[in-house]
Amino acid sequence: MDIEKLLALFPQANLGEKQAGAISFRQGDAFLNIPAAELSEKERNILEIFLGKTADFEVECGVWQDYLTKKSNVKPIKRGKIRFIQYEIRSLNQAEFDMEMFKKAFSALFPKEPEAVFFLSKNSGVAVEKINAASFDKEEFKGIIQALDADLGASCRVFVGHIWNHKDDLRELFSSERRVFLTENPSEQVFDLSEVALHYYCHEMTSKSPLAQKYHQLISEDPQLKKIVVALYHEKGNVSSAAKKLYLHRNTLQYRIDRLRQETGLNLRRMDDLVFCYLMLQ
Amino acid sequence: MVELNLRHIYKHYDNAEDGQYSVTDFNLDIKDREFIVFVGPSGCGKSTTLRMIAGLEDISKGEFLIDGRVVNDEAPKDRDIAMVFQNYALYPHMTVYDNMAFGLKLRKYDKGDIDKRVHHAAKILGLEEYLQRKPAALSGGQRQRVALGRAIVRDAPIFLMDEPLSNLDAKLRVSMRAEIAKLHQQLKTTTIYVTHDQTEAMTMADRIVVMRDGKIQQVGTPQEVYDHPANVFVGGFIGSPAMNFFNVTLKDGKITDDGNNFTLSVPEGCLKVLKDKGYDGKEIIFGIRPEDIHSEPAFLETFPESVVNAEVVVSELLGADSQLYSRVGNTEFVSKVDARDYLAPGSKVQMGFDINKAHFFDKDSELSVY
Repeated sequence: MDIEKLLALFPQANLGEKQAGAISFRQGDAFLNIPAAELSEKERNILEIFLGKTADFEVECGVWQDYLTKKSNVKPIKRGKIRFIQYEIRSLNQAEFDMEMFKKAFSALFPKEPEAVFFLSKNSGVAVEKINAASFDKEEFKGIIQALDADLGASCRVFVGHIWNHKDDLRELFSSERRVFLTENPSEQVFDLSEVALHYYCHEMTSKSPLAQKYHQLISEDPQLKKIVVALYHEKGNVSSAAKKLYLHRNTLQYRIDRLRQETGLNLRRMDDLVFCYLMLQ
Repeated sequence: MVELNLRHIYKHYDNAEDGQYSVTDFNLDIKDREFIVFVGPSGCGKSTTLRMIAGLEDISKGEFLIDGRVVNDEAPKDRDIAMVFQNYALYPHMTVYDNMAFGLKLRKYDKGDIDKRVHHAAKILGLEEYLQRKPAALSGGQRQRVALGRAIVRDAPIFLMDEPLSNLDAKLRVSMRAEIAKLHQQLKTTTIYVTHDQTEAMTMADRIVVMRDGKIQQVGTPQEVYDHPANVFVGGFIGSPAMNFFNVTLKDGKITDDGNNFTLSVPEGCLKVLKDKGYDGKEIIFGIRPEDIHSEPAFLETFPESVVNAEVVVSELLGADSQLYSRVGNTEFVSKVDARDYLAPGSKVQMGFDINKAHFFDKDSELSVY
């Protein structure tokens, strides 16, 4: 088939690297990309007769999946930035679960269709998102994930990966992020590394130290104290703001801080002591 | 007809320490078509409870019944419950039509049925002319309506709304509050609405469930919860600005604050209750709402024994009225006074505490005693 004639028929089409949002047909080393919105089901079927099967979603997934799972050394990105959005589906009814339907729904969360979405286990996987101006931040993911949960009747937790450059060792970085995602289980449904970094990097160290264990016990066995430490840490040591967050009177909070100082010598008004207590809770 | 019963519901997350529950012994009966609001600070367990009702979180202990049927192990899709979230919980590259239709498509509804439902919902919400637009091309209010539309198309008898107005601006929140209330009357659904905003709770609810640390603090109509808070937390959480609290001692029919800065006579009826409960000569928490503190001369002259001398710390003019943040001894309190009674910071001021509207709480348990 004469590609030039096809390009004339579909002025929005182009020949080059495979593009998201396009129906792509492999033509030698390149892809003929026709915007999906321009093709009817019938036209697509006719073109497949002449050009061969479309390089559809699964094929593209395979490239990323092979690279990230070390089956291939060919990095599927040559320019730009990407991030890995990992997901895990909890409270899953395996008998009724449709992986393809989930991938379709998960892809729909993104402002622009991701490069790939694939499962790495029966209930978890990753989307590879090319960064663009419309890419969501963590808070936006928190909102849209709720819609997905409601539509699928599932409960997902999501890890929003760091934005990496195409030149980075993406496989190694993904592998590290994957370890974080599978190890950490914060109460937040959507989280990133900064939310769990303290726990992830310090937990093992502190769990081996008898001294740290003793401090952990001291702070965590009193649920009120634990809440005070967390609130003060998140409010950067500001007693008034922490009191508001805890729905305590400022004087009550001050009294409790003073009592802790008298009993343990730890002064939560000092940043060093506050950070230390927070660290011991990890 | 849909009734919901939550009986001794507990939620324990795997990552939490033993015995630490996110929701503890939650008991509630919800009547058909009732509009229930769960309110409380973030992390109090209200969204977790909502997600357990939806089936998106497992119930660790207890029973959840819909119309007398235990549904703990029923899949979310079998519970016939629709959910509404905040306005950006929309699929970004789908049109309004597709956003509303997507959940039905995933549930494999017939195409014609989907079309009928989407157009019906769009008509109810005034979204017919926006069906082909994408969320980015809609205003905040329109997006919120689409989020409601996603639930309406389900035609479910139970609606769960999780902080649906939380990221709208203040003005839009007020108008959407009215729209949701209107919609509830129109659709006649049983609705559970989660918010951390006590104003939303007060204005929308048939009954409010106030939560803290995974536990129900009080259940009641907005008026009941406002007039008779069950404890210090509810007193401080419901009402804006928050209720003021002072540690006082009851002696000889009067209360005196712990810094000896003021003494107020306790009305006969209230005094009898406090004495009967054994608080005579003991410390007690005295609560008074900002709107029950007066600065107008007429009040001060009529009730001279209710006068407290204070110093103004900050004065906020809000239009019709002012909020005076004042100090008596080391304790700060806020009063809502007439805007004409504006006073500069540092001014000495006489305030009349309307002791007939006072609340009293036990110092240790913080539970209401009057």
